[in-house]
Amino acid sequence: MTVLPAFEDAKLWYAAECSVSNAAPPGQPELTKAIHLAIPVDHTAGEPQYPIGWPRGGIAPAPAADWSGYDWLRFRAYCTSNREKLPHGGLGLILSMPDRGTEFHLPVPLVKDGWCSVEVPIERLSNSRQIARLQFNISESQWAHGDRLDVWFADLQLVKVTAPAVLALRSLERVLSSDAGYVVLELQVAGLPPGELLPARLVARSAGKEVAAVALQVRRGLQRLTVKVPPLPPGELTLTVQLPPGQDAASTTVTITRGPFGG
Amino acid sequence: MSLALLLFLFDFGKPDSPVLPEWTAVHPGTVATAEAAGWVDPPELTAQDYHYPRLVENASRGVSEPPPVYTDELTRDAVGGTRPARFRVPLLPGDYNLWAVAGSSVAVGGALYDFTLSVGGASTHFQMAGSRWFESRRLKFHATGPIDLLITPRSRWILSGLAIWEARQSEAVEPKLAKLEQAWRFLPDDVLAKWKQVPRRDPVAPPGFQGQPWEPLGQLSAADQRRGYLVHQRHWSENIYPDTIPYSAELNPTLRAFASLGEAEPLTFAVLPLRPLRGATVKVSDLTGPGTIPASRIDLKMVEYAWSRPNYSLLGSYLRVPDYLRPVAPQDLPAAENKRYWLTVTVPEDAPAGLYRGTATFSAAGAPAATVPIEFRVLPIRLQQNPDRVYGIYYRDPLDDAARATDPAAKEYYTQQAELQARDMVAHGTTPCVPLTAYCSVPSKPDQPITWACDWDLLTRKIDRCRRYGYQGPLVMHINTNGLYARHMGGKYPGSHLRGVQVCPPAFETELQAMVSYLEAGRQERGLPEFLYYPVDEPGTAPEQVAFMVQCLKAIRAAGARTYVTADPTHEQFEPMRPYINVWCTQPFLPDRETVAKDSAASGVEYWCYPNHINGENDHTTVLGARMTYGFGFWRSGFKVLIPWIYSSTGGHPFNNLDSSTADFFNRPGPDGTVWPVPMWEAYREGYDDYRYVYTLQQAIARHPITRQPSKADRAQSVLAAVEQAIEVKAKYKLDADCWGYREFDVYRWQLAEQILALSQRG
Repeated sequence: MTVLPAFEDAKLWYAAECSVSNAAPPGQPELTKAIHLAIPVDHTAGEPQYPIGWPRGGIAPAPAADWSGYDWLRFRAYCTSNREKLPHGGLGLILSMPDRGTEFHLPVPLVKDGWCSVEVPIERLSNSRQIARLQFNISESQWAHGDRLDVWFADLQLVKVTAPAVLALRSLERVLSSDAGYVVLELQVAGLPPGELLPARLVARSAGKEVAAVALQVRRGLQRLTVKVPPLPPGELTLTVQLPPGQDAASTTVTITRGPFGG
Repeated sequence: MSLALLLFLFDFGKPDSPVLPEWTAVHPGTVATAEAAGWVDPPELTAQDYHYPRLVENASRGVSEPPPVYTDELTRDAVGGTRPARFRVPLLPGDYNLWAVAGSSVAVGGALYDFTLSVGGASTHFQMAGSRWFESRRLKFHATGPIDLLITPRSRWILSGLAIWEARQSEAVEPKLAKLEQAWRFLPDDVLAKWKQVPRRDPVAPPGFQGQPWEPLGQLSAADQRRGYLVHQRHWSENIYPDTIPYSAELNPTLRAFASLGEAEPLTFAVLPLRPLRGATVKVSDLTGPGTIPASRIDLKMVEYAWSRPNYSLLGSYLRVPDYLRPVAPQDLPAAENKRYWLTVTVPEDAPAGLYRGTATFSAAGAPAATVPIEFRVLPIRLQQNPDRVYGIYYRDPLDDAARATDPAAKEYYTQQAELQARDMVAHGTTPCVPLTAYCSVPSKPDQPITWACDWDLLTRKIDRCRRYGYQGPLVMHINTNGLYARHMGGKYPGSHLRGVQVCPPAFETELQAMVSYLEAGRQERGLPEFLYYPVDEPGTAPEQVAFMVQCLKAIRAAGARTYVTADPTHEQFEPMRPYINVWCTQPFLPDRETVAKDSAASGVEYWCYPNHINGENDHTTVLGARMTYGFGFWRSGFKVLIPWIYSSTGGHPFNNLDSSTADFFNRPGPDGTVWPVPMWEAYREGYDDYRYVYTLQQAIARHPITRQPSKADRAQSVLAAVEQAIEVKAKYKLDADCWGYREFDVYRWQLAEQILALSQRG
């Protein structure tokens, strides 16, 4: 886990049509390093076409930061507002990279008077080696004059898994014929450097007994693999991905049935 | 380099039509001389000129939108005729190439442009069924002096432009002609500047998944490298894109499928060239086993990629997708671009059950052929269809074009097209349950009396065709509600979705009731099936629109007829209409099955579905959603009829999805009225077959003797229940992620088939 200095120092943040400071959210005085974005919505403060301007705050590392060695950007956000109900997509996160059209956008799922957690897989960024800006902003169309939004960001951090791990595994088909010939798996792998391939093993077990094992290679991130398998016995089959040195990393089950071509 | 230095360039049109720079104007009066090109003994020729602005007004929708076709100085005008003609060009001896472009920018109902161009022993053929469809052709010929271009029509002929150049100049000339063709085959440059290519979506990826499915293919085998291409397979319902990299597990497949007697079943494989291939083609053998399924029972098609829009009505974005299927013919294949071949085996009704084997052979000039084994299991099952379920479809009827056609060849073409399309529908499990129109014109002023009249001959011909192909009614019937509205509302017509509509005076209802009464009397007199009256398509939810709908529906019901409405019954705003609706036709499978059953039992109302999300409202790739909707989804929904919009929709060039205000989608016109289907249409049939397996098993269970002991029927029922339980019920099945995995469908189908077979065995 890495907390960049800018993540906790409001002096390194910029703000427009709002203010940013280090302050603890209500009821959590211990979170003194939380970043507080205070946004009073003023429809008279901006230009005729953009009456409230574009309230925003963020960090713009220079030179652009290299986040490619990490798996996720994580943070928690607490908010208060004088709005009875928060507008959908009321606050957005933008991660900018130098090339045009490569911005990453994510609505922050704010909970009024409560916390939400956000996790952004770094692999979703088209150029994670050059993060030029992390910014939170509201969209003027969703907020009325006189609205107020206060957001506190805590535990803003870049996270990486240090050892290879399979975080999720599923078969794209829940039932298969015994003579299917291959299975299609989707798995989420962390803890590998970008671009590196790790030899792994897919083990098929029926009633706890190994009935097939095939070699495969995995890389970091979300991926889909088509793995050849021999004819499989009918019944519930557990498919387990093993990472070196032969440890079960994640499992999923499929149902195997007899097919029209034997098996 | 200027084109004019190299060749003869002719722009056909009216005497005052604009002419493409450097081209020579030709009009009906341009007569050939010793020095100048022109007509020889011209028969009666016509000239036309209509240029579309880049935006045209759609008054109904209240918007400006692209024209039906983008025209320029060359394509806005043309010369044409209905009798043979001869155009002479004074050439010196030599080898020449010819390029001709033909099409009409002017809409002519029932027109067929079907003619041959010949010169110097070479000939080519044009066939455009309708207007705003431009085609170009090329010929090579040798001239010994002046040449006569012979135009031999079967129906009408038309010419917009002609270029003739010395063969050795082709390298300089062809790019310029390609630029002209771009305007109607793709988009003109000024329009293209406002469009952008967008990436295709991964159909099953979770949100944020980037890039295509990845797996290193690894070292290619020596055999594959020598051969110069890879052969691979994915399930037919999974799209293969030009740049899809096959998984190693997919290479060098054996094609496998099973089917029942009389059933049609697809088998597909793809070729990924490692280098360009010339003259690539596929042949199939007979399938031999307990009997023989001859190769003639295996339809061979290939998938064509096309630029498409993310949705049929979207502008500004395009992507390259697998689009339509056309008959296999030798083709040059570029390197690194997949080519998919689509085989459909139709099992003879009397084929002995068992395992059949055969081969498909791919070949290309100068490359070793590839033999792809086929294993096909025939089941001794005759599938049954649930008689309470109907598969219909919206339809632009060629019989309307036949009625408008002014020459025998065009009439014959459109009449034959109607027959071929009806046969095609039936072959895909769809009956001609097609909405029709009973049009009665009304005078424009309310004080003018109405004499009700309708073209009963044409309507009866259409209905007879529906009956001959298995549909006995009821028939959804459009009526001239708009004309009656305008009559009573000062000449104003309702906009699209009743935009701008107001409640009408009582006389409107009276006359609408009278119209329907007239149509009912005519229907009964002629012994025609029941009509379901369809006054308005997709009304809006504003109070005035709903109030107007109530007026219409009450009037129809007062005439003793039933009503059909395309609207979502779960929208509260439509509640005032509910007492007057006999058939709700809605896009999603909503309300849920229990509500549908309860409502139908209580009031007799029927729930139909027009699932446009797996017809035109997509980027042409929602194949799996189509299968789910048509099969297991339809079964689970409780709905009675599927009737999507539409069997075929084309605007402008039928194979250019980017021209016109909406994209072309679904079935396309092949030569001579034949049908070129799309994978989604094939998926409709497969869904229909999935449901037939369900119903056949249900019937087999019902017929099985009741015993005290757990029986085979109990086992079959539990399998059926498990399959039903496995369905994740959705209102719309569109994206692949909404459905089972591609091969899962076949697993469930096999489970049902196994139980059908088990119940058919004694003991």
